[in-house]
Amino acid sequence: MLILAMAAVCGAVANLVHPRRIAWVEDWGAYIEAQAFEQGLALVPQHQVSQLVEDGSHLIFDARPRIDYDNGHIPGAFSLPYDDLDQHFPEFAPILSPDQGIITYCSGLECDDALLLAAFLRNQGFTNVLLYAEGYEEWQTKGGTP
Amino acid sequence: MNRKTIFRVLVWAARLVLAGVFIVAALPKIGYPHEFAHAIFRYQIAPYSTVNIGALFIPWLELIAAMLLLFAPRWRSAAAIVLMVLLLFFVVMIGVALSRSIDIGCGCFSIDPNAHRIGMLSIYRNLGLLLCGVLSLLGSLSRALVKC
Repeated sequence: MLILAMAAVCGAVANLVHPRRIAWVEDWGAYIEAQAFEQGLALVPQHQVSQLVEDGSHLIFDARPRIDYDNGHIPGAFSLPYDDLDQHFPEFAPILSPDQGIITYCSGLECDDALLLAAFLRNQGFTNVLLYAEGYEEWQTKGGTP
Repeated sequence: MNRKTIFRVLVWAARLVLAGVFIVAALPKIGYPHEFAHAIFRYQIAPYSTVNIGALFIPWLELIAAMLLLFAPRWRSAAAIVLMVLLLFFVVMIGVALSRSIDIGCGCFSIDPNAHRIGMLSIYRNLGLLLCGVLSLLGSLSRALVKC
């Protein structure tokens, strides 16, 4: 117990004097949206994603691992796992134009693969990248078809 | 060398490995608490309200327990137990993440999200360290028994 208490005290004191101090409690639920805002990435809500799926005007990339994609995904979405970008991105790169509309998503607000993928795509020169931050969890709960 | 000496050497080797690994692991996390909090967040297991508290508490627990294991003979058993509990906790965290196909940086020795991605190797490494913890604990307990 004393070791736990010592660690708690040291952690608390260190955070008070640390040059990179952090909040004791942070709203990690808003982390993805805050990061997207900071990086200048546009967020897209579910109803708009539904509309764009119907229109077929945007390419939709599922940034989750392939196994999750195989278990269900937004209609028309392509699997582009952020963790395997080196392997999979070259398959798509030749067919994408810089102004091609792209939407990225992953599981939801607890994952940042879609955010990282969107940032990657923008760095590759794609100017019309949208992030569906609430991801597949919301798509399922709000009545999107799997 | 007799058996007693071999046992002592093994116990000290185990302590050095275990404490060394935890000290090396704790320092970057203490230096970059928000990056470590992000590593915890990416496991998608901890409630949001506990992420930052965990990021502040765990590295210091690692560091203090490791230092006590090396330099405080009276605290060695307790320190070894704390480190073993931490290792079990890490094994569970990694196991749950792997079972959910979450492919993320381990957050074990580096706060770089793309370094040391979790996998079975991470679990085997922790189990090996757990063995070092058992050996450290046995060493401390056998010494206490001899004193009795």
